[in-house]
Amino acid sequence: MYDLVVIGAGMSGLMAAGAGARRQKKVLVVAKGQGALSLSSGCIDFNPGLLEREEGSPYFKVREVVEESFNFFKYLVKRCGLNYVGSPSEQTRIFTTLGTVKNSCLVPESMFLENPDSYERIIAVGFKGYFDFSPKMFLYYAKKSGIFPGLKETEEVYFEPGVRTVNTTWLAQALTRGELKEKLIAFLKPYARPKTLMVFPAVLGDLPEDRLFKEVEEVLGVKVVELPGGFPSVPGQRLHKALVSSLKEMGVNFLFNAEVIGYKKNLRQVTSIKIKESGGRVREISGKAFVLATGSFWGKGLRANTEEICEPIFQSKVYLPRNFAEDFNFLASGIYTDEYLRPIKELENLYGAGSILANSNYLKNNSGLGLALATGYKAGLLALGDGEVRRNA
Amino acid sequence: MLKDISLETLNHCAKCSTCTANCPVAKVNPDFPGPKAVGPDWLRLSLNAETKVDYPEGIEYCSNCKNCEIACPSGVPVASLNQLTRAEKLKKKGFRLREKLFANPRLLGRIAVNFAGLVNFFTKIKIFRLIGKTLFGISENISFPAYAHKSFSRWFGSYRQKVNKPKNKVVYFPGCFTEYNKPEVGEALVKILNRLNYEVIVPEFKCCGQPAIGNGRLDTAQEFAHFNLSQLKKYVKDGTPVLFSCPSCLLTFKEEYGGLLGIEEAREFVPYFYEAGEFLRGLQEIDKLLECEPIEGKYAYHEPCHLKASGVGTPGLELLNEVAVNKIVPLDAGCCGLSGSYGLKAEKEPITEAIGQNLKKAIDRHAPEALVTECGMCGVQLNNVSGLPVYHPLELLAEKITKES
Ligand SMILES: Cc1cc2nc3c(=O)[nH]c(=O)nc-3n(C[C@H](O)[C@H](O)[C@H](O)COP(=O)(O)OP(=O)(O)OC[C@H]3O[C@@H](n4cnc5c(N)ncnc54)[C@H](O)[C@@H]3O)c2cc1C
Ligand code: SF4
Ligand code: SF4
Repeated sequence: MYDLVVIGAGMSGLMAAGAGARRQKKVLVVAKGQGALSLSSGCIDFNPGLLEREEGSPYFKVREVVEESFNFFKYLVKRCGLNYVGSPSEQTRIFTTLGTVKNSCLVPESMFLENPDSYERIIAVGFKGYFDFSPKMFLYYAKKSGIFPGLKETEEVYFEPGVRTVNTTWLAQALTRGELKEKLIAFLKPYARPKTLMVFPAVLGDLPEDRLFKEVEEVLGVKVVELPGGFPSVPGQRLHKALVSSLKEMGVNFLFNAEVIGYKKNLRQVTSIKIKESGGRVREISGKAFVLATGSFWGKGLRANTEEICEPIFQSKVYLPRNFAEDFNFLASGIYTDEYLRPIKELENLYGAGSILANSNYLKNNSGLGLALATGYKAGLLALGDGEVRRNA
Repeated sequence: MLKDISLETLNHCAKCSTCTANCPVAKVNPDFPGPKAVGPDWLRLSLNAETKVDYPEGIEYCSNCKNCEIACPSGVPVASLNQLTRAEKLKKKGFRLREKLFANPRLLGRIAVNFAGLVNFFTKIKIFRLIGKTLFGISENISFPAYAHKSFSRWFGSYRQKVNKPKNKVVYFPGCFTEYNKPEVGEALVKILNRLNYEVIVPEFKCCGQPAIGNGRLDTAQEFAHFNLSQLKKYVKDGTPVLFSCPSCLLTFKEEYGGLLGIEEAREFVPYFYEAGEFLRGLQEIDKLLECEPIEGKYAYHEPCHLKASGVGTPGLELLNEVAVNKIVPLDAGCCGLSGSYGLKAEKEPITEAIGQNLKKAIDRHAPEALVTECGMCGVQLNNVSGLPVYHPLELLAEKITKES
């Protein structure tokens, strides 16, 4: 019997599991497929200013755990060698592969650029046969952006990885291996001078603990920055991997490739969930408390057909935004919850978290992963019956 | 064969590339375009007569590890789609002797187990491996699994099970690896089950068929499947559970028979199939046995891809953690790279070696005394990269809980 069963292995589900593991509880995460987390840029967007303007935002239910949950997140990923920079009260500016500037909150150390005004040269590094990053386009927009006032010189360079077609994850992995790494560093050496910034697509190593960007910095004495953009997203994969590995090490159990299709209850409690495994076998898993963290449309927490939008597991009531089809309003769809993040009055040990919650439109509040992080963590605490959290809520 | 290859299945594909990002082969081999390209992308073109193109290049490199399918957010059976296309392509090209041999481990196993010392000796000698490579395309360096001196069924045939009456019954499918290479795993399970008052039945079986699928011989796999299912019929009809200690056998029975191989009837058997650890964990009586002498030492655990794909979680690890003094460290290093007979082929050897680097790194980081995993072939690879001893969770458990007090 698990103390906590979490449905979904996206940011919100993993943080709920983390909250449980931190309190030495027996936790199980069940998931069918990777959700939006691994497709994301790896940057944790979070913007309290915008969230406060969103009527009914779940943010109002989790404000007091934001700081704690963000710190805990940093701790979790750091255990796997992945460092994040930033704090929930500040916006962090990063650059994308398109040369545009994006405001995020917590960002991987490899994307963080502290003083853009201190650089006089930018070397944009592309790869022959790899088309997801155009150094030319990056430089064109970066120069226009006005963020590099001291800029005197730019250059686009193309490294030859030596294969016909370059697949992103192959490249990320190959660059960390002996010969290609040496070749890359030798290739870049002539461009290394003081006050130089080298920008790369986010392919400098595929694992969370790979710190190729640091190695290049140290060997060449330049500043290196990775730029997010495009699918698959290596930083999104690193983030997903770091969280899962870290939680496994903390003793969280995982059940992948199993879809939750229903539940059983007794009085006012969910007693078990029904899962469908490979081959179609259905079985039950019992637990003391449950967190529903199945994401929005992408994660499959919400399903839309021609008539309605539903939450398929518990049939929680779903909020439909007005002017649904316009201006990405539909992304605010989601399940209603009470002040303790519970979607269904009659099910007292069920909590909801992440983008499945109503009134969280990540395109408008620029807080997708950040809100999933905080709501997930809080749902985990509440599910474990953390009295103090409940009083504060 | 798989019925659901229709435009509908393919339309579920959102082209997000999550599958490719999670493919261990695409990560290390630039000649493999990855599951999305050889799967849904290629099929979309091929289903339309006007855009039909030749078989996708590089699809031979797919190892059927299933990581693409596990990661896909849209429920597309990417790995199975790839096996179908790959099998068709291989069939057209004609099979080599190597594929025929590897497709049925029993052919070699039955002979080798009688001359285990000799066979194990020869597979370690460089010159023989070189001959193997030149003539048959068999890898020169990757260690072959060692053969046991006595097969599991020989042991089982002469073993007297000690069970009190009234007793329960379970069927056990040992699989080729337990049968010919590591009978200790089956012995461990039988002894644990006996302690729990379960009598074990082992009917005559053929190979599960996963190696045949991996070598593109779907007809052979179907033939095995039909035989195995007919052997199980009467037990399953009485509701007798069927246990597997090998994750790949489990996945094949559970998923591939009814899915990839399209044997409709197989679906009815699925509710009775259990991973051995999963079955044990589900028994109330096990709790008492787990109050045994604790397991000491520092172990690290490798989760086989096919166990992950079976959707049963990691029950063996959970059981061990109940009795281990030190929590078993999860390596979480992904696919081991050997993928059954995949890595025993010369052209796949570099791929296997490259994928295995992640395992090696994780093992170095945690510095365990020994390793634990359910899959026999993963165990071979774990031993290759680390030199450490490797155990099945059942072996470690049996040592403690079948000890007479
Ligand atoms: C393409 C894309 C890019 C984005 N980029 C960013 C970004 O860069 N920064 C940012 O801050 N935000 C970004 N967002 C928004 C952000 O990713 C999401 O708001 C956030 O990830 C939601 O997290 P979640 O945990 O709620 O859901 P998800 O991450 O979607 O996770 C849902 C999980 O539930 C599982 N699941 C669903 N149904 C079932 C079931 N029945 N049984 C078992 N498991 C189930 C899924 O498999 C998955 O594991 C992006 C969103 C998208 C779609
Ligand atoms: S992960 Fe699934 S949906 Fe995404 S590209 Fe692959 S098959 Fe298509
Ligand atoms: S089954 Fe494994 S090797 Fe084959 S495409 Fe999928 S992830 Fe890659």
